[in-house]
Order: sequence, then structure tokens, then C-alpha cells
Amino acid sequence: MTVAPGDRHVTVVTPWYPTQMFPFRGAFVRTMVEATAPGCDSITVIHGDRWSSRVSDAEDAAIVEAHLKLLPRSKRTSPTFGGATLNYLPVPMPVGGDFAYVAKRHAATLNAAFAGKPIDAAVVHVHEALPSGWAVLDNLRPETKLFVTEHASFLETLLDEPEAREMYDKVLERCEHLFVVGDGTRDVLLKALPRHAAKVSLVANPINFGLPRAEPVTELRRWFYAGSLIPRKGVTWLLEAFAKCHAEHPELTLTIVGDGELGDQLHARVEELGLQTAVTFLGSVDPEIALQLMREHDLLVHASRWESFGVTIVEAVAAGMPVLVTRCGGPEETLAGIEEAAGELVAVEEDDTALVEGYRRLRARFPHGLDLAKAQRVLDERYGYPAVAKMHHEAWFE
Amino acid sequence: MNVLFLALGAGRRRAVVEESAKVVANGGAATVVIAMAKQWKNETFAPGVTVLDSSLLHQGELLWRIERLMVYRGPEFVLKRAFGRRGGSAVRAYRNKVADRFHKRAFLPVHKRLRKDVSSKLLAHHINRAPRPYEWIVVTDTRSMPEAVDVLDELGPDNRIGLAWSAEHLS
Repeated sequence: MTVAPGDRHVTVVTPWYPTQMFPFRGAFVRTMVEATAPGCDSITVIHGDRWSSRVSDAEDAAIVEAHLKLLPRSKRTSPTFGGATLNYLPVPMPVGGDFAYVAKRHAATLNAAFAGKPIDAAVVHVHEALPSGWAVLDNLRPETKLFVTEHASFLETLLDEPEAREMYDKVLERCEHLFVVGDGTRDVLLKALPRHAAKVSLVANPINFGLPRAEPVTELRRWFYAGSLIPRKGVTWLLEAFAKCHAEHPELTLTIVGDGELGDQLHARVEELGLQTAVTFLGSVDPEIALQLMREHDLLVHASRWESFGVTIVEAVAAGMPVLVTRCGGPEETLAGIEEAAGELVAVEEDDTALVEGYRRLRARFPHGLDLAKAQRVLDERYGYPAVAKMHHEAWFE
Repeated sequence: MNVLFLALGAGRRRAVVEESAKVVANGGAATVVIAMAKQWKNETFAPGVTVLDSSLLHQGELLWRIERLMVYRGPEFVLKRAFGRRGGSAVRAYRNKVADRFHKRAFLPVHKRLRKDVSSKLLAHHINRAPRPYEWIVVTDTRSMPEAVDVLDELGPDNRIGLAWSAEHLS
């Protein structure tokens, strides 16, 4: 296929996309594809999936050689959401390595997969300038428009590496526009690379508001958390806060969806607190199941220390659920103007006090002190599929 | 659909467990080739998924048969004769406490190192002799990549088996 000028063929390149291994990772890329596909002639998603292993240099060399031999004969494409085609490329990677190294490995895989040919698309939209933006630079036609969406919560660390910053600068030089999902990410980016300020603007992660819950929330009894079980997500404070609230209201339950390094510690703490019957760990589940679970729970509680956007919070409101979340960067932007209608925002603190007090306040003013219908309407206008698709289509094709 | 999952590095266990389960749930057959059972002790494969320890492919080899004779059959024969009616329990105790431990801790690691060169031949042999022909090899981790190249070389250019990185992409 050769894309004619004016055709609306888009290739999305991403290091994150949901797989059986990590069902949650890159769910926002999938929703972006699903939202924007209706206005395009075709969309191809190239998922460069990092496969890490602890190997010696000699083993790594053998793996790379084998990988390059296997790529041409492997079946890599399959249908994905929105009628798009998924092109799956594992990227072998020894454990460790800085951001520049990781980006170079992604580039090597993409170059091998395309065998020197350019990507056949009028528009290439990458998620993460590093690794994906860097990886496509050698595979673009001169007339292909390049766009970037930056989500990385580790962007500051990445831009602290001189080589990575230089590579990032080259990606920004080549691209038409870079979208960030929150002011915090934009500030970090422009502090390191201020000369590209004109190319950087905000974009939302699209959220599907078309899946209503069967029954509205009538009491704030069934707490819900979905996300990684890692320190940055503040999930230990969430559990402590739940324990205190449960002591006041023994009918409360908490469902935790996700995996992570804190999993064992959280399980042990639940036993220590004697909350085995109140707390359920579901592990990682497919994004659709997580959304369904949201429609079956009463309150999303998130205690993150930092979020660039906070997709889950908007998804929760879309699922008709109030939220109790920390002011961790993303939520105060996404919920601007509708904080009280959607739930309760509390300070990021290294203890459970703010969450416990936040829950008490929320419970005291539920349901009349909230306006979930209004919150849904406002967020749909900001982050619903049509709004986000329109913004992308205007940038890509006009 | 008959799928052989190469999972020798055990690097993406969750994907292997989930994908093999889906293959079986969709009416196909799934065989997962692993290198070390202990790396998989916390995983539960779906009923119907065949798990094949690659070391078992070596069972017909002379080295393996010698070990069987020297460590299992010989001593067990002696124990039976020596203990008479109590020979059965003596054999079980010997097998659990001595022979199996020797096999797992000493023989298998050494065997794997010495006979690495023939594993791809044996895997290719296993694929060729499968009663239900394999249609796909799914390479599931980086350590399986070199093995996959060797197996495909052994199978030769005329083989029609497909290669993929995930069973999610098979049709």
C-alpha cells in the first residue's frame, strides 16, 4: 500500500498496549485508537513491547541475532479495537540500561521490522517521544506528519539524562506537535526544552462515557481501587485509611485491582488487620472487566502521590461512581470546576489522615451534596470520545 | 489449532499461562515447553494445557538411560532383594530421599549443560512426531529466541509451521 496525499491513514506507535501479560498497561492508547479510528481511513498500531531479561552480554548478543532472524517470518498483525490493525513487535532488552539505550533498542527493532522501508502512513502518532518517537525517526517519509503524546510519569528523570534529552530534542524538532496530558508534564518538559514551547499543548486521554451503570450509587459502601500496587500510588495509605473507616462502618468493603511490588505486603497487612473478609484482591484484569467492576462499586479511592492525568478517576465518574482522590497533579486538572460534584479531593500526605477525613466529609454530604450527572456531562465534553477524536483529527488532517 | 509455546526463559509466565488457557478454551491444543519446573511452581496452567519439561525430551538418550539404570533401577532392585517384604517402602524412601534429589539437583543441571546442543534437534523431533501436527510456535520470552531459530533450522525450509510472539495474534 502507498498512501496517497490527503488520505487519512494513521500509524500509532507505542511502547504500551494491553496484553495478556499486562492487561492494564497502555489502556489509554487503546481508548485513543478506539476514539479516533472512526474518522480515519485506517489505523495501524505498532506495539514495541519491551521483553526484559537478566542476561550476559554474550547471551544478549545471541538473543538479538535470533530476534532479527525470527522477525521476518513471524506473524505479528491482528485486528484490534476500532477496526485498527495491531502490529506486535517484542523488543528484547537486558535488565537495566538508561532511557537512551532503551530507545535505541526500540529503534533497532523497528528498523529491522520495516527492513529500511518507510512507515506507510500520512500521519504517525507516537506515545512517548522516547522510546517510540526516537524509534520511528529513521522510518518516516519526508511528508509524513509526526505527532507525539507524552504521558511519562518519569519524564523528569528521563530529561535529566543528557543523551536522552538530546534525543528527545530531535524528536521534538521533527514532530508537528507534542501533546501532554497534564500541566505538570508540560512544565517538566518546557523546563528542559523551552525552545519547543510553541509545539506543546494539552490533550486528554479519551474516556468512554457510553457505558452507563445499571443502578445508581445509593451508599458509599463498596470501595474500589484499580492500579499498580506500587509506592507512588499510595496504596498502603489507602489500605490504612480503609481500615480506620471500616472500624467506624463495618459494612464497608474494598476491592483492589492490580499487581505490583507491594502485593505481598498488602496481603500481609490485610491479615494483620483482620480484614480478610472485607478486602478482596483481584490481581490484574482486562480493562473492560475493570470498567465493569467500577459499575458494580460505590466509590473510587485513589491515593496516588503523582499522576500526569489520572485516567482511572475520569473512568470512575464515567461509570457513575463518586471519587475520593488525592490532589496529585492530574485529578485537580481533570476535575477542575466539578470537584464537589464528583466527590472529594484531598491533600497528598504521608499518612492516612486526609483520606479518612475526606471519606467522612464525603459520606456526610452524600448523595445531595454531589452532582454526578453534572460531573459526567462536563467530563464527557472534555474527555469523551467525540471531543478527543475531534481534537486529534483537526491536528492530523487540517 | 495446535500451538507449541516456547517458554524456556520463564520470563513472561503470566502471558504463557493466560494465552495457553485461551487456546484450549477455544478448542485448540496447547503445549508449553519449559526448561525448569521450579520457575513455574507458582503458576497454575488451565486443565488441558500440556506442560513439557524440555529435559524429558532427552529420555531416550544413552546418558539418560545410564542414569536410570545406575540411580533408579539398579539400587531399587538391590533394595527389594535385601528388604524382602519391606522392600516396597524401602524403595519409595530411597526414591524420594536419594534418587529424585540426585536427579533434580545433580543430573539435570549437568545434563542440560552437556546436551544443550541437541535440545533443538529433540524439540524438532517432538514437533515432527506429534500425533496432531503443530501449526504454530509461539516464542514467549527472549531466552527462547535462539532456541526457536535452531528448532526452525532443524525443521528445515519446507516446514509449514507458523511463528508468532503471542497466541493473541493467531487466527
